[in-house]
Amino acid sequence: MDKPDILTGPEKDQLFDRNFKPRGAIAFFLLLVLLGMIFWYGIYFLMLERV
Amino acid sequence: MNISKSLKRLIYWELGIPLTLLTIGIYHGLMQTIFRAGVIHQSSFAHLDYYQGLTLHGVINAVVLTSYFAVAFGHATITFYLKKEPHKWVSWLSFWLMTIGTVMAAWAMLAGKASVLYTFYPPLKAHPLFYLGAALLIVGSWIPLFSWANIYTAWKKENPQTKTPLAVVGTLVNFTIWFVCTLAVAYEVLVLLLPWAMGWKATVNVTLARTLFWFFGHALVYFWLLPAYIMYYTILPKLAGGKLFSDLAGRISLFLFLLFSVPVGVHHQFSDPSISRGIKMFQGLLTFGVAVPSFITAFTLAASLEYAGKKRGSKTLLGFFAKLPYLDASRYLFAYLIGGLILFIFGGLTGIVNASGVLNAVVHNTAWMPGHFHMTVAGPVFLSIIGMSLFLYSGLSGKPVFLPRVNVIIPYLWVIGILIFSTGLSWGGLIGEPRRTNLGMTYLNPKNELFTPEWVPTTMLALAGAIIMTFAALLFFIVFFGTMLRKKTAPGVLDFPVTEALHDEKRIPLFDTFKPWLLIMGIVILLAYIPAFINANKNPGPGAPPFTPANPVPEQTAQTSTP
Amino acid sequence: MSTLDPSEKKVIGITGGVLALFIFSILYAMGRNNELPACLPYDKAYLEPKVLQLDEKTFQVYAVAQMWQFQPYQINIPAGSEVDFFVTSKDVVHGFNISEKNVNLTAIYGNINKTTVKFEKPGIYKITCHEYCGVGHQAMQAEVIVNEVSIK
Repeated sequence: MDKPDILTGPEKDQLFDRNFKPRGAIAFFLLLVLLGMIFWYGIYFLMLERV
Repeated sequence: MNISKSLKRLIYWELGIPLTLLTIGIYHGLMQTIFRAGVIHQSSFAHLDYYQGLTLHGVINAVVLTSYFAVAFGHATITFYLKKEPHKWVSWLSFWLMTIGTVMAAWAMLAGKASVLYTFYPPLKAHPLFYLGAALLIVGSWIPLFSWANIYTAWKKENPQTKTPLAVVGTLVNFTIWFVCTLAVAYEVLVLLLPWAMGWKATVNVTLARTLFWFFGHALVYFWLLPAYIMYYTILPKLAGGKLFSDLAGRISLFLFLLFSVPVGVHHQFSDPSISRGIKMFQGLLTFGVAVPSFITAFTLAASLEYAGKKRGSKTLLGFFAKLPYLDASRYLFAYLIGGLILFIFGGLTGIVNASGVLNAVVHNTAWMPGHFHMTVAGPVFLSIIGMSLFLYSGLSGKPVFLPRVNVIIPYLWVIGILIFSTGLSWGGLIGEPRRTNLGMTYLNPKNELFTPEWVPTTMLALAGAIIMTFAALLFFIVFFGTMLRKKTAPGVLDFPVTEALHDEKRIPLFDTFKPWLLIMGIVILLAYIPAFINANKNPGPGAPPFTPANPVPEQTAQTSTP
Repeated sequence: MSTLDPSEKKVIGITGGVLALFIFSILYAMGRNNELPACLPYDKAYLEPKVLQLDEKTFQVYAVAQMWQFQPYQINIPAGSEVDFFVTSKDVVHGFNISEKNVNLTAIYGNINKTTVKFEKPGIYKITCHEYCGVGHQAMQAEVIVNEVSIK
């Protein structure tokens, strides 16, 4: 009996779900934190300058 | 799901009244930027004074709109997910109290007798009906919680092993926060301010009043935000074509909000006297705590959107952002929700600056502040309110949306407007531009000795942004009221897109029960606020007599004698 | 928490780490003599606006905010002075903001607020009211004039 090379339908979905790793979301999150630190330290050094 | 005519009508009124009043709120928003940019150099325009308009803008947009919506959306989520309608006369009683209160407060503001801004700090005094109206609006909005809690307890008895739907957790958490925090402002209004405003009490402890207000005032912003979060967790991933990355993360976030929304109010009082440094720093630390659930949410939503984008074929690391249904008019709610998230990136991050103790001195009460909060309350909160109002109305009435292709771009116009507007305000704030000030009369009047040319570009940017925002709002009013005038083409039903979770997470009892969290919430509030209230009671000197905005001489009451 | 995805846990960890960094930075800044306003018991002596010179470079200013002016309206000091501001209000809540120097206080009836500032650079520093206080709020501004110290 031939085994299909490509998965179809629900098995494909299950494989997609199992293999899904949120790498992009981690990258987005790190960028978000970076942006936050830029804002925060921007104001921080402005404050220190004014002391 | 089919719902009763009574509940449909209730929701229509609870959406329709604030959206109608919003026209006044938006008008005054635009007017402020016109006054502030020095386009006009007057104290009032069209018989409406700047500070009166500012009060109307804050109260309508930030209190009336948000409270009515939260109640209507709460009714909808409880009914949809628990399959039982809230108690009929309890819900209508709530509506009437809120509406009578709103009418009283609206009268006081429109009559020029309550130009005290939505924070109504004493010793500035408003007409007693303003305070009474505010109290009724708030008490009215409590009432549905009790009916919902009843429905939930019954549901739990019948479904002991089923996870409480996330939207239900969100609604109950939200209104618990609301009930707890409004106790303080209800006390402030009914015990401290109303008798004083009526002349029965001669003085008021200003610091105590402010501390009570901010016990309420910070939690208020989570009351605004949590309905949007419910939509982000339970609706957004489905609309994007994906699944929720972690349902558990949503629950953890909601319970963290329950813990940390209230005991942080003193961060609005960093520059106040009589509250000790220790308490300010402790509550500042707790404020960092309340930032955590938002970061969890940011990641979880990004992961959910990444799932959706990858499913639609994205291959690169951040490419999933490009594969989302931004302009799909049949899923316009996605546009309203994603628009809010884009703004919340900036709104949330600037909020952390505000919470950071000594950094607060750079930004407090400058234009930076409204710059920040227009990227939060006028960002995810506002967009989710108007988007969901349209969605609920259209679904319940069976009327198709009017001008759907215009509708789907409204959120993006709004986002562009706010970004320009808030850039102007934030920049202005960093160079000393004050908030809550009619700049056009002095600081932005070239003929005045106080003219400050540095604030010309910043106020101009704000004006430009506001014009775009007003245009977007106008389009929304056309779409919403246009939809109301359309003919019904489908049966009117209550229906929400329901997002599936990616991982089939087991029910964890700790994150599916309220009691332990309520207990911790109570303990943290006591730890954070008992010292603050002791400070506010012990440290100040004499209380203050009432003053009206136009008169430096305090009002004489029956108990104060003229010297 | 055992079923919480590992990337969620990483996220909570990163968030906690960054917030801790901010906390340490704040503590450092506070060590640099840049604190939150101090807590002072009420005394009606502070209702009399005045400028007291304690020595060549040390001043105390009793600043009183009222509808709609600050008193004293103009404060003259030499560059390099250290000033203690004691701030209160005779009526409604006012703001007291010297934006170039991180001075950001609320003036409240029946309460005394205090902060200390060092004015190194000569110039005119505006004190702006930035809390709504009635119809004259937008005209409420005073100034600190920091004069160059002449070399003898």
